[in-house]
Amino acid sequence: MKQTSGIDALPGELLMWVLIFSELLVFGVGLLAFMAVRLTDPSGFAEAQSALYRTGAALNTAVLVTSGFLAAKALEYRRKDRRAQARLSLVAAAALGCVFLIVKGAEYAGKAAQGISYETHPFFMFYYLLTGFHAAHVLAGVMVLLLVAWRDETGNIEAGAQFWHMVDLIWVLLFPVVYLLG
Amino acid sequence: MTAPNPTDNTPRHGHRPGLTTAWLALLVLSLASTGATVLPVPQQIVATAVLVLALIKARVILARYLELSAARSWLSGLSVVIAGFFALVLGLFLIYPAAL
Amino acid sequence: MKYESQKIALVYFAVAMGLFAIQVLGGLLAGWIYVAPNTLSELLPFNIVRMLHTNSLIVWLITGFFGAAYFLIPEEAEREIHSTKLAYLQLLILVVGTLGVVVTYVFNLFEGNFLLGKEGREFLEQPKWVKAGIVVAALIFLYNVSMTVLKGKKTAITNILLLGLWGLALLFLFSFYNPSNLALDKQYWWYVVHLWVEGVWELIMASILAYLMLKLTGVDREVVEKWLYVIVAAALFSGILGTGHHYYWIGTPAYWQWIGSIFSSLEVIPFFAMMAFAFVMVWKGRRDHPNKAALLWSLGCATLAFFGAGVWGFLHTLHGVNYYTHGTQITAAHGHLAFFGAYVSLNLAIFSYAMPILLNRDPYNQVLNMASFWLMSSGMVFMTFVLTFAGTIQTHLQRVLGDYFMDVQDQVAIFYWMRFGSGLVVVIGALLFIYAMWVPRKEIIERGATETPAE
Repeated sequence: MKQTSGIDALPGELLMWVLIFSELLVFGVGLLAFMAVRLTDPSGFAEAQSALYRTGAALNTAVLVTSGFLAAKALEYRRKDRRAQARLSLVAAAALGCVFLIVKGAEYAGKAAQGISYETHPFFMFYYLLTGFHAAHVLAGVMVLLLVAWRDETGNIEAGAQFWHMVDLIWVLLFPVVYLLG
Repeated sequence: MTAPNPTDNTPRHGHRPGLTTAWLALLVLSLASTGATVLPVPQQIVATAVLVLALIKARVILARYLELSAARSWLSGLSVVIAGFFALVLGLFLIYPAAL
Repeated sequence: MKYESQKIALVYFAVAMGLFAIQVLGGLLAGWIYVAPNTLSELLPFNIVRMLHTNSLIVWLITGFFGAAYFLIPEEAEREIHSTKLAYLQLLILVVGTLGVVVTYVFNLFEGNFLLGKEGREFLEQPKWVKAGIVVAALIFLYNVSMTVLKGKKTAITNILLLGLWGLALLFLFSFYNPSNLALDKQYWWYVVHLWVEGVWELIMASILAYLMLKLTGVDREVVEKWLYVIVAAALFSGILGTGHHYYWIGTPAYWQWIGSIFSSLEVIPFFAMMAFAFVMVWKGRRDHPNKAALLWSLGCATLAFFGAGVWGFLHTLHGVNYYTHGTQITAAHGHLAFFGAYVSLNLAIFSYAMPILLNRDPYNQVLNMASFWLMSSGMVFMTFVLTFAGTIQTHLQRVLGDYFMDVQDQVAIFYWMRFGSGLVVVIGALLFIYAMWVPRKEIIERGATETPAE
């Protein structure tokens, strides 16, 4: 069922896809740089990684994919003109985004309490750089979700949800590399 | 790229059971990858399993959440790119798979 | 020419070309000082010559942008410029300011004076009164073109062009802060010049290029606009955090090395997209526009910008590489081809397109202009190769083996001679270009045969 081809086949706003590709590129290169620098000190990286709070991060994965589900649901509702449900789903998605940020904040606070900063070890420089940059996107995404819950044209919700799924996708790429591969 | 994608034949608009299935699949896959890290098997196998699971998750997000199931060529292209990315990550990891 | 107020552009182009001549002659002098270091060392020290060379470049490029805006905005917005008087007043302020800068630099007048003296900085060196004048001129300009666009038709080209010009003016405000800390001074300087050339100027470049493609190839506006948006998004995405590649060695935290390396590497993408855009448009285009010179400069611009800014920039942008090459002739090679490709060629392209229209010499073949393209481009490309070789040798001798700077300079002297030769070719090309723009009147090809209706 191929009606369109090339860039016209991409659903929604083309610029959102330019953003998604750009972000994927940046995080992809960042994560590869992380893995490459790891080779200069594998045991130091493994030791540093053992200080991370994996359970919290795994919980955050569940929070984000659930939030993404709600954002996708919101678009589906909006397309059926169920505007109230769409808005509710968006606000719920944003609320879960806040939960993610709270868990992440607790994680950072724990690191700070242990005296760990971005200067402690190259691992932590990448850790703060990659997760911090991602968290900044979560924060932006929460605001975007609330914005499109307010100005709820279908196109807006589609773009907002796409941004949110991008944040979700990046986390799925980031989480195993930074938290699990030791 | 032959990642399983059990809900491919849903229509793009209208009633979409695919979304809920996708969400549940993502939760199960996340749980599985966390579980894989505590299995008493060598690091190399754990790493491979975790990255394959992550690849499937990425594909589910692309296909369902980002609705690329309606643009198959983009879905396959991006899947190949992400698979290549994880292959590089795995390769870099396997050079020195430090055990914890 | 559809609108009377487009004539404003003519004066701007004249000033820009005048400064262009001064800039390349200054460059030639600087190139000569490289091979004969004592030349004018008392009268006009090298640091002053270099500053004139780089600053006059920036000023003439901006003047050209202003002229280009005054030329294309009436056509895009489909109405006359809001106020012709203000446009001339703006130019007057800029010219007086520029002359003030040159006189203050060369004779070092009012040394130490807060308002009138130069500021003792390497680049944002203009006396305060000139900076204030530049801001006033920019405000006049922005008011003038924004009013025109607001009252007229809004197109993607004018929107992006205005965004770029507003960014250009606002970012200049960083130049007023003059911290005593040298590292901070550099940081604020990059806020101006990096965010210009690797940020908002790319918006200006993309929009002017889009306008030229629209006129020269006759491709649908819709197609051009889609490209334009993608290019602009890629430019801003990579360019803003790409500033990090200037933070490697000025005392900022180490994570900037990674932010800078990753984002600045992506700066290749918008330049590649612009090159792809230009060639795809020409390939798809159905219009055989008689102004081949403008087309040549447009394609040359996109191509040389990709190589000069994109490829040569990437060569030394990764911090692991830049650790060795920073401040060597590699930088000079990149700087020359990037500025020539991206912004000089862009200006020359819009001059080539607009001047025959402004002077009623349309349609126009411009063989001399095309000859000047090949002279300037080949001279600049040769200079880039020569400086790249010099920089590679310099990096090895000075940074790897640890030889003394001046000893190394002697080793690479042959390259500086070749650079002077290529610079001479560029200067001849530049003077030929200016001559071709203003003097010959008879280079007309048969009228009517190739004329196509405007879009």
